[in-house]
Parts: sequence; C-alpha cells; structure tokens
Amino acid sequence: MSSTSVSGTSVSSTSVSGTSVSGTGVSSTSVSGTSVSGTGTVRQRAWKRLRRHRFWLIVGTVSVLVAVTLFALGNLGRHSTGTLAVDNPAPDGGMAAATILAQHGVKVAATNSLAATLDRLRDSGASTATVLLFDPAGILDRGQIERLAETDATLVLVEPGPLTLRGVAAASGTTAGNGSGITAAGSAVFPTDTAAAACTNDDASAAGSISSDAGTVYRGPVMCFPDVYTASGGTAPGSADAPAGLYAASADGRVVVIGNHRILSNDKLAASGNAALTLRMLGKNAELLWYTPSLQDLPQEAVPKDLSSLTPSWRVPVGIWLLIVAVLGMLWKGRRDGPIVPEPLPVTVKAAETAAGRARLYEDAGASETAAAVLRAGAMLRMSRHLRLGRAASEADVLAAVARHTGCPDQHVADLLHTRPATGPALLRWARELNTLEKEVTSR
Amino acid sequence: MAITGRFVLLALAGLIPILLFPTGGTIIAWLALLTVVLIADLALAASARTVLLHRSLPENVRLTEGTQAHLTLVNGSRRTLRAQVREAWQPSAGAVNPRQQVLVRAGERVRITVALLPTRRGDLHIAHTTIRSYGPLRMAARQRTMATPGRLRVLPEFRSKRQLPAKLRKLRELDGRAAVQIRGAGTEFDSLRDYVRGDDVRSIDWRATARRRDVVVRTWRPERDRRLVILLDTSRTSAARIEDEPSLDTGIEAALLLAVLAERGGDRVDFLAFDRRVRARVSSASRGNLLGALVQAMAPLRSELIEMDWQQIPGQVRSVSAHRSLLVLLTSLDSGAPEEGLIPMLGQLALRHLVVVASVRDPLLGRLRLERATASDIYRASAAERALLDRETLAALLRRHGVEVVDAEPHELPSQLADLYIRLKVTGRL
Repeated sequence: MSSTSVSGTSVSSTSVSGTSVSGTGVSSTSVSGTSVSGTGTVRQRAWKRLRRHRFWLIVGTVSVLVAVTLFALGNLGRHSTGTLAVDNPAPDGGMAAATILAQHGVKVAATNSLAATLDRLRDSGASTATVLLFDPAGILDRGQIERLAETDATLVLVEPGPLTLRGVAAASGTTAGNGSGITAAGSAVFPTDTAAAACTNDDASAAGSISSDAGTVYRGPVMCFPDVYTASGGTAPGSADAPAGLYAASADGRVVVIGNHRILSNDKLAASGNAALTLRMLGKNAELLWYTPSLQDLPQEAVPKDLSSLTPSWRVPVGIWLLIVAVLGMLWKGRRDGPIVPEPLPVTVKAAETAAGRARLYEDAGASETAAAVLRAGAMLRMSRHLRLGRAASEADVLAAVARHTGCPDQHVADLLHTRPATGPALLRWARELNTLEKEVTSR
Repeated sequence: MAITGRFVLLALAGLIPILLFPTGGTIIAWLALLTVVLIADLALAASARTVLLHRSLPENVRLTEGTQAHLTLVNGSRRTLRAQVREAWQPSAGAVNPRQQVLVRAGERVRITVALLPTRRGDLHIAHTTIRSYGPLRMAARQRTMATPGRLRVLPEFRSKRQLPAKLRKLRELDGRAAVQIRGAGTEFDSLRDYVRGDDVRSIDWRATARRRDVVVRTWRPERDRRLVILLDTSRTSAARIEDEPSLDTGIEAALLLAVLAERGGDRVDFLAFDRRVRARVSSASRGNLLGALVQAMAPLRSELIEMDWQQIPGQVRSVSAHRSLLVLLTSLDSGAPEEGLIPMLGQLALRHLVVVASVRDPLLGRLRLERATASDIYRASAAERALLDRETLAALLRRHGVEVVDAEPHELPSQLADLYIRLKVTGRL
C-alpha cells in the first residue's frame, strides 16, 4: 500500500516592515504510514493468545485445583462437630466408643430424629436394641420421651434432665412410685477426678472407677459411683436424702442413666474404667441406636417458617435474572476498547517549596529573632537602594538617611530597626511597623 | 469480543417473560435466545482482522496550535464493516475525537480525521488502533487492537515571538548612528555621510572632509559576526515549576528569542542543551534555517533528574566556539546549586568570554514577602525574603566576577535577556 502525502500546515512567522524572520516557518510535510493486516494462521494466533494470557491461565488452574482439593479433603469421611456424635473425631466426640463397639459386632447406627429411631426399632426388633439418648438441649418433649420409652429397647440416658426422667418413668411404668425410680439429685461434686463404683452392679464393678470431673448425680434402685456428700448420709434408696451417684439404673436394668457424658467422649474414654463401663453398658444388645435429637424433633409449629414460603414465586427467578443482567452489564461496561495508553509525565517540582519548608522550620522552632533579622536585612537593602546610598553604606548611614527622609526622629527609627521581637505576636506587630516604614520611605 | 448496551437491554427485557412464567425453564429459554443472538451477531460481523489501516500525520505542530491526523481504513472483508475506531493517542496529545463510528462497505475505504490539540511540548506517540466491529444487530462486536505506531513532534510555543519585531527595530536603530551616541570600544566603521547639525564634531572625518570640501562625519554600526553561545541547563533545577511552567520551558522561550534576534543582528549563534551530556546542539553556521533547527532540537528536551556537570562547561563551550563569545547560561540561581557548580567555574569562563547568567525568579516569593496577616505569614514572608536575599547575594557575587545577571520573572525573562543583548551590542562589549 502506498503512503500518501499530506501537505503540512506551516506555522507562519512574523514579518515586520521588511525584516521577515526567515526560518521561523516550521514546515510539516508528510508523513508516516503504517499498514497492518491480519497475518498468521488461526492456530498460531490461538497459541499467541494463550501465551499472552499465560499468567492468568496458570493462576486460574492453580486456584481451581486448590479449591477442588480442599473440597475433597473436607468431604472425605464426613465429620461433624456435635458433642458425642458418632462421626466426630474431636476430643468431645463419640467416634471412639462407636468405632470400638462396631468392631466388636454391635450394629451402631446414628439417628437424629425420633421418627427415624422408632422406625429402626420397629425394623430390627426393639428388644434386641439399645438406644443411647443424649439430649443436652432438651429438645424432646414429654410425649416424645414417653413414645421412646414405651418401646422394649434398653435406654441409656446420658445426663438426662428431670423432665426426661419423669417421662421415662411414666412410660415404662415398672414399679410403683417413680416408675423406673430414677431421680436427679443435682450437680456432681467430687473431691477427686475419679469416683469408685461402691456397688454390686456388674457393669460398675467391672469398671471399678470412672471419671467424675463434671456431671449430674442420680438416685435410683441401682446406684453406683456415689458422690461423697450424699453418700455420708445414706439411707434407703428412693428417699430424698439417699446417696446419689453418677450411674443409676432401674431395677430391671432397662433404663440406665449416666451422669457424666464425658466418660463416653473420645478423650476420656481411655481414662480409669470409663471404657469398661461404656462398652458393657452399650454393647449388651446386638444393635445400638445412637440417638441425638435434632431440630427435626421439634413440633411442626415450632420450626421457624422458611423465607421462601413467605415470598412470591417470581422472586427467586427474577433475582437470578437480575444477577445475570448485572453480570452482563459489567461485561458491557468493563470491556475496554484497547489497552490503556500511558502518559509519560514530566517531573514537577514546585519552585517555592524550599521557601515554604524553611518558613515551617522557622515557625516550628519559634525562630522569631532569625525571621526578624531576615526581614530587617531585606528592608534595609531596599531602603538603602531606594535612597541611593550605595553598597558601602553602613547601617548607621541607612538609619540616618531613613530618619531624614521620613522626618521621624532618629531614635524612633533606630528603636524600630533594633527591636528583637521574642514572640510570634510581637514579631507580627513589629513586621507590620517595619512594612509601614519601608512603604513610607519607598513611596516618596 | 464485546457486548453492547443493546444486548444488556435485551437481557433486561427477559424480565417480562420471567415475571409472567416464573420458572427455571423461562430463564434457560431466554438465556438460549441471548446466546443465539450473540453468536449470530458475532458471526455476521465483519472481521476486524481484514481491515487495513494507514495513518498520515503531520510531522510537527506548534504547541497550542491544533492539527489533524488522518486514518484510512480499507475494508478487506466481504461484509459491511460497522465499527467503532479508537485511535489510542496519549492523553497530552489532546485528541478531541479519538473514538469514531465508521461504516465501510465491502472493499471500500473511508478516511477519519482526528483533531489534535497537544497540551505538552515533546514527542507525542500513538501506539495502536482498536477496531470494534459490530454485527448487523449491534448486539455484539469483534474487537481487535493493531499496533500502528506514530509520532507527532510538538514544538515549543515560542510565545516571545510577539516581542521580536520590537526588539529587531531597536537593534536596527543602532545602524548608522554616530559614534558618540554609541561610544564604545568595539564599534565598527560603517560609512561616511554629510555632516548635519547636531552631529558630534568629534566624529568629523577630517581627511574625507579635506577631499570633498564638505564636512563629512563617520558613522558606525554595531559590530557583526560576533559569537553567541546559549547554554540551556537541563539538569534537575530546570524541573522547577514556576507559575505553572517548568523553568526549562521559560528558558527555551528566552533562548529562542535571543537566538533569532542575534541571528538577525548578524551574529553567529550556537545553542547547547546540557546537563551531564549534550542533549541538543544547534549552530547557525550549519545549513538550513536556525529557528527551524532550534525548535526541532528543543522539542524533545526534558528536565533530567541529575546534577549539572559544570566541570565540562568550559570544554563544551570551547568545542563550539574557539573565540571570545557572549556566553549566555540559562540556569537556576536558587541558593544551593550554583555555589557548588557554577561559581567555581566562573573565573575560568569569565576570563575567556563575556558571561551572562539568566535565571527565572519565582513571582510567588515576591508575593509571599509582602504577606502580613498572621504570625505564620510573617515566617513565610521571612523565608521568602531569605530566598530573595540569597539570590541577591549570589547575583552580586556573579557581578563581581564581571558576569551580567538577568534575574527575572517568567514572562519577562525573554524580553529582559534580549534587552541585555542589545545593550551589550550597543556598548560594543561583544
């Protein structure tokens, strides 16, 4: 392609009365021509593009890989964080006990709702099952507990509240009075970290001693690991001041209560006789249902209404669509037409900057005398120049000339010029007076 | 690839069917519609790859004067090209309409004109041109950026040109004056003419009078063919911004006026821009017109953030002029820099040459000096006074070395420097 020529606009020169400044015309003839056409195969272009965006491609790939890996690791063997949950390997989880029981042939199944628990009991036969109930939040109401207790399954209650105990008693209806006969007797207080069995129950005596660092004590037909304070006044079982312990069971052994959930937990399972008690207690039957009530057990009206049920049906699709439109809008506005063009900026230094800096130094240091001396020198120089005193004129000469010129008394001028203002306000006053004097001299 | 506002509007219109039938199916259907429109429009757009570009630029333009750059597009594809063309000028080129819409039928060409109003002296560049080729529906566009390097040299403004006629007249008035009016050592004999009343009797040429029987006087003209070396300091001190103009630019204005004036005055002019090495060098002895060469050489000058190397100056001056010259140093007299560099070299320079130091004074200092409103103002006034006194001291020191000093505010510097040149010429000190 040919490069065309553009006739230049010429910057005309001034030409005055015959003397033209030849050569001031800045001629600008043509021309730089650039031609670009698409070259290279599609493959080459694609490769080039790939190379150009190499950095972002690598970053993208790495971040996707990291995300996938983290997701896989996070879901590899699903772990929960619930206290005493069978799939929680943390110190307060119950995974250790559940795993040991499973290894010894007990079918361990975790459930989180009463309906699921009852279903399983119905499927596998309640009489050959043990149900561990751990409900620290008190989710189950009395009716639900009764329904659970009405089955033939053995119940192991971990730290049950009084209401739970009452529900179990009402349902099981074994003996007179309190049903299962187990009642809560307040918080456990032990002088040592372990409590001895002190009873004839097989499970308890096999364990010997268990951790007693926290929990609740219970009274019942069978009572083991008594706490020392209630043990001292011990009388007949069932009475209000009978000794209470961490382990209580009904007479027929169908309801067992454990006052300290930590003896089942992963970290304390190996301590004292915790493991013995736990495994004997839970491993009696072929099947163990590890039941931890959840929100599903709450009655229907207690569940808060889902937001989606309150909103109109078009809301979600419209929201999604608006999101899509917003993304499109960003793509529309965010697409630049070509790379950014840089501007090589020149260095700019403000010329009076040093003077400003020096002024701040004077001010910060309160150097009013120095500042005054400079002002005086400037004023004297200008006045002596105005009065044509020459460079050799001494200070006294200038003073005398100024006094003569303005008609002020010598002393007044000398006082003014010799003042050394010590403070800011004094400097201000003095500088104004000096200015007035200078104006008076130079204006005549 | 790029989408347009029209495409976003089409997407927004999807809200109506989604409100009417709020299901996932509607969303997917509308997305499918959008995709089809997008692909169809992209497929039907003329490829930006087939466009041939050709730009023609003027080589020079004077600062503050506008110019035009032309770009010719040839559509090499078989489709009509509807495109937005963007010429990526750097911002200080002051492109008025860098983005333009074009419509070029297949095989045809079109020329667009970009108006430029540069805001800064120097070489301005354009690196590339971007073509955004829209489909027939204007929903989507193919985009391509092509490297189309170009350069536009922006010459100094030479504002002081306005003062040139007045200065030239002043210079011309010197011709043919009687010697008494311009008594000096170096004036040259011009011609003989008849005595008119008022001429100094001392300039009567008795020998000629005897020959002609009329009283004849000698006339003189200023000496010609003297040497003038202008040295522009481009070191860090020239970056100082005074009244919204770098002192380098003020120096350029002054140098241009002086050089043109001196050339018209019949002197030989050499120009040097120097910091640690020579940034530009122009001589009136070389061919071509001086001003053209000067503005070309000055256009790309910038302040370098390095210290001036004064040690090299005598050597540099000697390399351009072996004889006694008028050496004009356009530099800074701010306290600090000259004491270490300029003054130690002055003895050597002043011995061989007549030295003039021209410097820009900040008018802000003069204004600050008079402030008397608050205590802070007094300190500021005092600091300004200090700076001005330092300059005075420095100027006095320079004058003691026999150096002429021009210390003026930016708008007055070129004029005062020219006046000084004329005065020196009148007194025959060149």
